Amino acid sequence: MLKRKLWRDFLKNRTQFLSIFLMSLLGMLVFVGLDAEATGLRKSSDTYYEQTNLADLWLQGSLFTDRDQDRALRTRNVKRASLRLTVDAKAQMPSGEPSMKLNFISDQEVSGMLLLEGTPWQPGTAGIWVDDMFALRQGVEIGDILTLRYESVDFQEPVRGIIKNPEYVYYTGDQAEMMPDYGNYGYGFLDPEEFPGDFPGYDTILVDIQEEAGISAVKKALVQSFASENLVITGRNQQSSYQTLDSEIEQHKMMGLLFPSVFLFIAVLGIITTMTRMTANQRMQIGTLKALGFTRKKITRHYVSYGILISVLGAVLGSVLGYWLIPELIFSNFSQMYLLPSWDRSLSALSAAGLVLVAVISALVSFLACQRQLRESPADTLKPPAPKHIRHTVLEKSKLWLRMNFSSQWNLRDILRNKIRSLMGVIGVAGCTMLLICAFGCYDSFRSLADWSFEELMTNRTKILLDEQGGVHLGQELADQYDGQMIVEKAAEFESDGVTKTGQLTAVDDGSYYHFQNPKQQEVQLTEGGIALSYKMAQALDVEEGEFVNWHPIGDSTWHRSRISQIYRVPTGQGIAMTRKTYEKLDLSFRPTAVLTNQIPEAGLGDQEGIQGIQSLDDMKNSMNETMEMMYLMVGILILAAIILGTVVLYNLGALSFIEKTREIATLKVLGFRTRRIRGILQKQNLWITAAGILLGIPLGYGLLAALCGSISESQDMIPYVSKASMLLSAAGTLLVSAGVNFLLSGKTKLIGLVEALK
Amino acid sequence: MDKTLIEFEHVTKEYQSGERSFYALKDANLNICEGELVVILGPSGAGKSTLLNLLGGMDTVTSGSILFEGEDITGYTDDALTDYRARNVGVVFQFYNLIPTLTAYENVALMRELEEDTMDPLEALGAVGLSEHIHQFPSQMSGGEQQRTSIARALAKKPKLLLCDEPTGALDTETGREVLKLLIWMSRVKKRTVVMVTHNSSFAGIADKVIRVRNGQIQEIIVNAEPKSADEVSW
Repeated sequence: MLKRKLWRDFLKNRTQFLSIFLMSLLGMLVFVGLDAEATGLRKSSDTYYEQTNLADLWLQGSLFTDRDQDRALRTRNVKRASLRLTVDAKAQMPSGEPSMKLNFISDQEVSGMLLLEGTPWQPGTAGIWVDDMFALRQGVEIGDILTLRYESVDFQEPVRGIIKNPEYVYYTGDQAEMMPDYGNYGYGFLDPEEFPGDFPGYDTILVDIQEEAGISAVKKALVQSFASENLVITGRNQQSSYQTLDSEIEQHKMMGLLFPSVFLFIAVLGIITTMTRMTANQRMQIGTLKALGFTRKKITRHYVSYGILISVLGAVLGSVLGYWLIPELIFSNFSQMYLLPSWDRSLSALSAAGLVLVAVISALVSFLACQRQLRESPADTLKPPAPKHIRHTVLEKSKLWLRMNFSSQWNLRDILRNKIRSLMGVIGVAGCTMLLICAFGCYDSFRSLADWSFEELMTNRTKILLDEQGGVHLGQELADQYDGQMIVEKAAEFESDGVTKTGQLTAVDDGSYYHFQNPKQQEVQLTEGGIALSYKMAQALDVEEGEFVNWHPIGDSTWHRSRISQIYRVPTGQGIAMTRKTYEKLDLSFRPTAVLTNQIPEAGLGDQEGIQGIQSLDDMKNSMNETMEMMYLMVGILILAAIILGTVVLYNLGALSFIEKTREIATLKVLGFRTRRIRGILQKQNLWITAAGILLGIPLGYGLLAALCGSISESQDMIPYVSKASMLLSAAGTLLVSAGVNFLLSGKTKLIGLVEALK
Repeated sequence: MDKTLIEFEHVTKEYQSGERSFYALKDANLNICEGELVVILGPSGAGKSTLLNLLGGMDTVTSGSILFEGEDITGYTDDALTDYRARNVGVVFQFYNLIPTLTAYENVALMRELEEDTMDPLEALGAVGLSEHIHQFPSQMSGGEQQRTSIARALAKKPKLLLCDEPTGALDTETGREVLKLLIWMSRVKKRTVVMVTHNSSFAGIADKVIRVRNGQIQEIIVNAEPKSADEVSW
């Protein structure tokens, strides 16, 4: 019979229980959804890496031969080793000249290809195996003859296979590009025999180690067996494809903890207020049950089951929905971003733990909420509760109090005497504002990233990329001709206190196109003599201004030890920067890799010898702004969540306080207060709570945004930025939600029957 | 008369209210036999309800002892008292105290969750004359119907001791008389011990035993040789 009472009580208090239900549903939807997505992504990628034997270590720094491969293989705990030479080439397509990375490989034991179509790659076979995105975008099919251009030499290769490669899960065309542009930047695999001209040797040894061996031990052993100063060994975490996806997964895991906790917190507060109020209202019934001989345990179990049942029901439904919905949504967007052969959802133990946690917390909270009524003896419980001991607050003794009008006094007392309810209101509204700020802030930050990169840090409009043939003379020539600024951008390795990272080395000649900003985003000039370290690299290496960092360019074995004289912020290409003078003082020859200019280069310049290509920064900026789809999705989800959160919490509270105040409202009505006046009093309180919530929500939202920005990959620096318009929009949005809920609730004041309420 | 069901020995109940304390009941001695119909009379605040609460194990004594079937229940733990109520005591309240979200039938059937040996709810409701409208909720019933439901609830439990706290207090004369008849029937026909608390002294006539309380003390205990019927009572 108590079960029937339970269901009927649910129906009777449906607004409150529905809100608890919705909050735990949403909480678990996001929690399980992101877990299913992140864990699934982790599993899918791990399977892919395992299938294709993604390398554990990459050896670079000089040119290698078969003998080096043998040497690597003889090293302790090395399971497999393969050789590879990667060069930048261009494909001659009817639509243009898309860039292609050509990989000449000795075998495919390590970081092998996943064949999607065509014949498997064999050593000694002619032809090219191209990536599927390139094939799709460029309309390339098996049997087509591709014309390729490498260093002004054209050569042709028949397409033998369409493939994917685990080292190309994520890649951008070059360092300066922030977003991938698959299909316009392709890659292919070939036999060394196919190399146009004399094969210079391999530039990388790919090493797969025994599973049980430790990475650092194998690294040491390799250093010993090669005994070469030039050798640079990098691991998976220094490889951008692996590392980007890896940190993306970690970021989702963090979001999976951050967002649901807001909803679950509201659910808990909902259980507290609802159960406290319900047990207080059912005091007589509890007393009766006690008098009839129901044990405290039985009564407790009855009341605890309200909280558990409703939240677990919501949680289970949320989990199921989240499991299907969230991965679907994210995967459909991510498949444009990451190139994985399969996208599976999978759950970790975290989801089960979350479900159990919801049950335990809701049980505990409902248990505590009904204890007050259960502690007393049946005789006491059957009496009406002793009136709350109400003290005058300090505020009521102040002069300010006397100057307040009736409605302010009434509302202030009401807020102070219903602290949990008011607190829940403020937190709910703050949560709403927080999510809105975060939503608009994501958009702003991303938008400002493009402006930051292409308007503030680089004020040129064109970047002429030079290849290895280019060199100093061509660079100087172009700089003179186009009033340009020469820069060197190359890969380098950094070390401090045993932590090694790879990144970018930037050296700039005199000129006014390449700018630097300090951590406060104020423009600074590079100082002579010292080097500047990028903000995220400083974080990764855990060093500060004034400390030292060891570094060397990849391909040059001499380590340098430099004092960090400045910290600068840059969106991508984390590393160190210095002036040409400083660079040359270190006995490094300044061979520019690019010339920055504001003039439009003459037609056909891109095809000249020594020039790799010409980039338009405006095009890059536009293409970056076009890849905002993922951002729109995220913003949409956050806004929706904010509206649901705000509406549910405010409606729940409004209904709750309304029920509690029915008697007071009826009394006011009897005394002659008009409905409109009473409504005004009630709305005043809502306005206060909303205003407090908004004020609290803005810094919280900024904090959430900063946490999100901070969690993106090590190699990217995204500065949290919320525009004034976004702040106003968030506040207005929250007010709108609040006003909407008020409108829904205000009709109720009229409905109060005087006689009924005052009986 | 018959065997003693319950006995009070020097029972005192003291309430502490802030720094002041007062006696709700002071040195009370009484005994109630099986099958008796006892009326406890007194003005409001005299200690009637305290007496009833102590009888039902709903409150604990400050000193003295209460013997139920010879066993001292004053030392009982909370759980033991709950068991005591579940097994032996039925309660009829002034304001019925039905569970508003359960129908008449369900309110009576609720007792099955406490004891296996309960009366069929339909039978209990039939006995109080409520065979119709048993699927109505308390809010759809008149006061008399609600009180009859609550008596049926007590009846279904087959209690040895039926405690009634102003059972007619919220009812009009005619309905009150019906309820009174039911309680007399419980005592005479069903052989239950019925203890009724009231401030209405005209009920004294129907009792086997009348206990008068005033200012927390038992003033007198009168045994009626020939109790009246409900129809003879006027108020």
